[in-house]
Amino acid sequence: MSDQAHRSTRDEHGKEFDRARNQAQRMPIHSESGVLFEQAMAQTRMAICLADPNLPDQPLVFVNRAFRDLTGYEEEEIIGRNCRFLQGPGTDPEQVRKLRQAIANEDVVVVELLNYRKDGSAFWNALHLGPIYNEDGSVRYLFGSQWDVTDVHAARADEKHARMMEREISHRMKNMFAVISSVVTMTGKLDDAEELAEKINARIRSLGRAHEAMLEVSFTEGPTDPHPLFRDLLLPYAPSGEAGLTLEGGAVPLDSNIVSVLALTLHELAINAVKHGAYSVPDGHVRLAWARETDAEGEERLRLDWRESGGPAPEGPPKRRGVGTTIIRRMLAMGDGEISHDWRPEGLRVEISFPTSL
Amino acid sequence: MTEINRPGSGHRPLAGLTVLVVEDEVLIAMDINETLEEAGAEVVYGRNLRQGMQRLEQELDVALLDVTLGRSETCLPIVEALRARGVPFVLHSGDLQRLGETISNIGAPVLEKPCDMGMIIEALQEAVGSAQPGAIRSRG
Repeated sequence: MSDQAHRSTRDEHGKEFDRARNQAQRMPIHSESGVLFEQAMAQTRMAICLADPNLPDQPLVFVNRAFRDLTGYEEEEIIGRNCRFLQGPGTDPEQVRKLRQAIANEDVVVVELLNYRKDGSAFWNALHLGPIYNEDGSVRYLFGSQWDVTDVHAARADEKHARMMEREISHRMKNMFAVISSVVTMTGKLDDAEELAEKINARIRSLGRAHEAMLEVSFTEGPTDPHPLFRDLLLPYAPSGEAGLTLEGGAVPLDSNIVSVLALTLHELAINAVKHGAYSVPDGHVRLAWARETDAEGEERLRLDWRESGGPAPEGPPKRRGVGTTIIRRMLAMGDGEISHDWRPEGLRVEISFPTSL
Repeated sequence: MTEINRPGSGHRPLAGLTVLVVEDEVLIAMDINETLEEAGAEVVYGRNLRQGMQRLEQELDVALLDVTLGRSETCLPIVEALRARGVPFVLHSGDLQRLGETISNIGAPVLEKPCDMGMIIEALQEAVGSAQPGAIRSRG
């Protein structure tokens, strides 16, 4: 082998290195493959090393350029030393034991080790190690290839942390909604207003369900598929379950403001359908369609189209506007939104629109 | 919030004042605006930075500003405009931990969400009272 390393200055490791080279030259590979090996080692971005298991303390006898680039050491600082000089305070002894075991058993092993460069900086090293045999079956070299997987480690840690935070937030939010609910119920009982408390709680539960449904996507940016949100909000009120609900529409921006407005609005529509409309009969059906559109001033709006069918023919506008309707009318008005009711013979139709910048 | 914390119907501590409210959660805005109106104020409302800036064209006595507006905006441009005109304001934020520095740099009274409506009214009264006399507009 005549890697360019052989041209470097000789120092105290020189003798060992010469010996290693001599041994390497006795490797049972004919000259053509030797040239190929040399060129491949020089070009590959994979850090490669060979250690001699037959010398005391199993020293490294060959490393390529990528190995030197990865570790920051010069060749003469590497050759002749056991590769443990790359380990440091953060290196997991368990992984090192695994490595030693594999060498003893002549196994191929892959470990991830925290290693240290010459300048002291740490990197995660995915080390693949395996024996290379002589023709007589004895181990000639230990072949090691290493890859810097620090980025992969960081990404894994970030992802783990984000998942942990999501679970924590989800847990706290459920708890918070539960506590609020209890306070309302308790106050209602003690103040002799249980019926009112239950109405308030129904709205709070809708808000809680809606925000819970959106937790999974809360960390992603941009428009989101609202199907899970609408299902969670409306299915509890559909007497025939899935068969009683049709949802049609694409992704929409779902910031928490919009989720709150949607939750309260759809809650009121569903409650009304249960009391007077399609959901007051077993086979009643609601079709909710939605789309994004741009208004005359260039502002994006979300338009919802709620159509009930299969229920009793509506009697027309109620004589007195209910609390729920009042709440959603005021809320939508605050956000430059609109709502219109159409009491058709086949069922109530409601159109709602509001800016997605709400 | 219980009824106890709300000002009584006869008590109108903000009578005669025009209050700018900038708040991006419409449900919270609904609650605040109704309370301030019950307290006698005339409320001018903006639900985002753009609307808040537009409302500055009107004559104002005091403002209540949500600090974070939408995903990426803050009320800072409104703060500067109000300062330039000598209109006092109170900050209202649910994000004190993340916005600590931004908020302390503004150097105005801060209310943490969720906040008792009575406290909001008090803070607005105090802000008007402590503003320079010239800044308080006399109204007919």
